[in-house]
Formats: sequence, C-alpha cells, structure tokens
Amino acid sequence: MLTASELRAMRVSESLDTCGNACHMSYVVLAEMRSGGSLICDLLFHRKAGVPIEYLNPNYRKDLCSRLKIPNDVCYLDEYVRAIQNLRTSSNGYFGIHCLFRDLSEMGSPEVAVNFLSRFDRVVILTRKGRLAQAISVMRAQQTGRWESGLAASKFGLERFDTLAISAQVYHALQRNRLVHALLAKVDRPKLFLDYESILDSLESVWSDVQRFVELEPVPASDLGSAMRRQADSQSEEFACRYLDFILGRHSVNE
Amino acid sequence: MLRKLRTAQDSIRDEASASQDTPANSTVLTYIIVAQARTGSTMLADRLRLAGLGTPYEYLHPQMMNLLWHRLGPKSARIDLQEYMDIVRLNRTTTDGVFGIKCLYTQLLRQLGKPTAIREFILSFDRILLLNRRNKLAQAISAVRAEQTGRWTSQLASTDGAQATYDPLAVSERIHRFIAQDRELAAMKLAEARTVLRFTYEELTNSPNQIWANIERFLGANPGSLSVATAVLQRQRDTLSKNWEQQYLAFLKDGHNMHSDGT
Repeated sequence: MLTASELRAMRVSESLDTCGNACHMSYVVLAEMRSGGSLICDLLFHRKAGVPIEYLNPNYRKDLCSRLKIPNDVCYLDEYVRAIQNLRTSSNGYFGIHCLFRDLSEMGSPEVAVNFLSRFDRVVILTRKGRLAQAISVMRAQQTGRWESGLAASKFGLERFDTLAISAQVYHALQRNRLVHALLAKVDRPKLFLDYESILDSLESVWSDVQRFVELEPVPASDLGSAMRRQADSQSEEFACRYLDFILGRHSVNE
Repeated sequence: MLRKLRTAQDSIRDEASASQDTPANSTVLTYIIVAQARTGSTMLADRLRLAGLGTPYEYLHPQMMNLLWHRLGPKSARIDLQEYMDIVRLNRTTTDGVFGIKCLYTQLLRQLGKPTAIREFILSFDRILLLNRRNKLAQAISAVRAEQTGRWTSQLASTDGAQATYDPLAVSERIHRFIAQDRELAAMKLAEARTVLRFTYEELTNSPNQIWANIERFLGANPGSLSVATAVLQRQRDTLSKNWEQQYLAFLKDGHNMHSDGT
C-alpha cells in the first residue's frame, strides 16, 4: 500500500506522461472533497481518457511546476495548464483535470476561476447531499492520510472524534458550494451535474452518463478494473450520531 | 401593559444614557459575565440589574463604548480600554459596591484580540460567570434569526420589518463559531486561576431557581434576591425555530431542503 505522498510522487512522475498528443476533448471534473471525484477520475483514467489527477492540489502543483520549470504562482496558471495539457493528453486526444471546489475557491479572483473553467470543453460537477457524512469523511481522511481506499494510513494518523473539525468541514463545504455555483453560472460550457449519492445508488448509470457526456464509447465500470472502494464504515456512522447528539446538546459534559 | 418595542440601537442608547449612571461608589465586588450570543445572558444580566447587583450591560459593545466614551471620557477620539473601563466602573458601580459587566466572546475578541489578553482581562474581575449553551443548533438558529431581524431580545422590534429566512450556510457558520469559541475559552483554563461559576442556558431555563441560588451564593448576595426580581424578557424560541432545526438536521443527513443553488 502506498501513502498519499508516495502516490503523489508516482502521479507527477514521467511514468504517466503522454507527451505531444493533440487535444480533441478537454474536461474538468470539478468535485467537492469526498464526493466520488477520485473514483470517476480513476475510471476515466482506466478508460484512457487522459490522466485526470489533482493538478491544482498545492502539493501536486509544486512538484509539477518544479518539473516543468514554471513559477508556482497563480499568474502562471494558464501556462501551467497548457504545459500539463501538452504533457498529459492521451493518444486518443483526451485531456482531463480533477479539480476540487477548494482549488477553485483559492484561485485568487472569480475571473481567474471562470477563465480556468471556460478553457475546458466539458465540465463535470460532483457534489454530495449528505453534508455530515461528507464532513466526517474529510476529517477522517485528514487525520489518517487515507484519502483513497487503496492508501495506507500515515504513521501517526490516529482517528478521533472532533466536533470542531466536523463543524468546520460542514461550513466550508457549503461556503465553497455556494461560491462555485455562482462561478458556474458564468461559465458557458456544457455541464453535467452529478452527486455522490447517485454513484452509490448506481455507479454504472452515472458512469454511463459521464462517458456519453465526454463522447466516449460506453464501457461498463466493472470492466475497467478500478480498485477504489467506498471507505465509509460503522465508525463514520458512530461519529455522525455523536455529532448530532453534540449539536443538539445531548452529549456528556466532558465531550 | 406592553412596553413599546424598540430597536437594538435604541436599547443601547438607553443603557449608555446618564439615567443609568450611579454616583461614584467605591467598588467592593467586581464580576464579569462571559457569554456567547443566545445563551440567556441578557435575561441573566437583566435580573442581576433588577436585583441591584450592578448594572451589567455590554460595555464592550462598540456602540456602547462610543456613546459612553464621548459622554464621560476625556474627549479624545481614540478609546483607551483601561481608561474606559475605569470610567465605566466609576459611573456604574451600584450603591452596595457591585460592579458587573456582560461580555460576549466576540466583543472580547474584538477589543482584546489575543487569548492571553482576553484571559488577563477576564481575570481582572473578582468573580467570573461563564455561560454557554449545550444545544448548538438551537443557539445557531436563534443567532441567525436575531441577526436577520435585529430582534436580539423579545422586547426589540424587527429592523425595518425584516423577516427571517432559513439559510443552512449561516446556521453552519454559527455552529462552527460557537464550538470554536467554547474550545478557545476552555483553553484559557480560567477556573484554575479564579473563582468561576459555569452554567448553561439549559440549566438557566430548566432549573432557574437552582441557578439563581448558586449565583446569589457566588456573588455573596442575599438569598432570594435574584428569584424575586421580575425580569421582563421572554424566551424567543418558537415553532419557526423548531421547523428550522428539523430542516437543518434533514439537510445534514440527506441534503434535503437545499436551496436551488445546491446549498
């Protein structure tokens, strides 16, 4: 099992480069944290529709900017995306990026974010209805470093119930959601809105919609060999019950 | 007879007016009520004032500070907090020598900034009453409604007829803020340094007589002095608050009742 930093090192390495292919279809999977964005991107990768990873994640960006010899600064965002497109467009002409709502909200200005989104042919938007489950998932991933099911927990990553962390995640997710929806209203590109709960209900149906949207011949998800699995478990449910008890004042005094 | 409803600004002007001043009494006991918004602190302060145990208004409210400083201060534009507090103490200590102040945590943050400065300020009082609320959701909803309408107490009128609108983002922000404030206050470890009386909104509303008795003992007041004082404030929680609570819980679990923009 890899740790998150080992996975990042692999993903930014030359091993995933597909240099010099012309781009015929570019897309961005714009996702909230813990909304199934990594799964959809993993399926797109296995479907050979580009290498859609989190190129805007500050750590990925730092590593890639260093590799590409581009200043790691929002002023050079266009140049950076062009360079990534040149580096990671697959032989069938697909180029994709996995972008988190957080990345978009940290671009400095709404104009920069709108311009960024407008450069793609397709925009896939992924959100999650269950805000509490989402917040708990973010908290657990932050504590353990297990952002994906295939990752090993970081050495010191102990899980603990933390009301402040959960309340912060609920608040920030809503704040970003509102901001991103305001930005999307200004982006004149075809958009596909999806949610995590639909993926849980029927992955094949959602995956089929995604493929159709980016003009791929449909191939069932089950044929693609993605190793990603759902991470929520009884611990998540217990944390959810404890948080609800807490905000309703039904907790023990010491909690 | 019902009193005419006023705005929050009217209320602060009244509280800062000369009619509330006391002669220069020497101070024998100082206390501070440290509370979050929507914890019953106004009701508590009202009762303490009616019982003659100081006049614990929100002296760190920015509007209150401006009004008192310009009426009683040295006419300089910039308010010096230490000098301001001396002036307030001089003019608001009751005849039996009690000086009280009520501070919302946000006011302490605004005036003092760092936790160490806030702690030092709080510990400068002889007695510390810490008031919070266990039900963070009800507290947050109450805060959002008050902010939207300007009806911070049952006696106040809405600002320009403003209506409350359910907003899960605003409720979430308040819940997060109140939890963070609880944690910041707990980290100050006030009880280790001074005599502190902690209680909650729920205790205040469910067992008021017990709490009044505790506060009387804590402040060295005559037994029964608080329980006989008749406060005029009423609880504001109503069916709309309960409806918002249900909406928010459903929203947290399943994302129900979202706005059209997905929030």
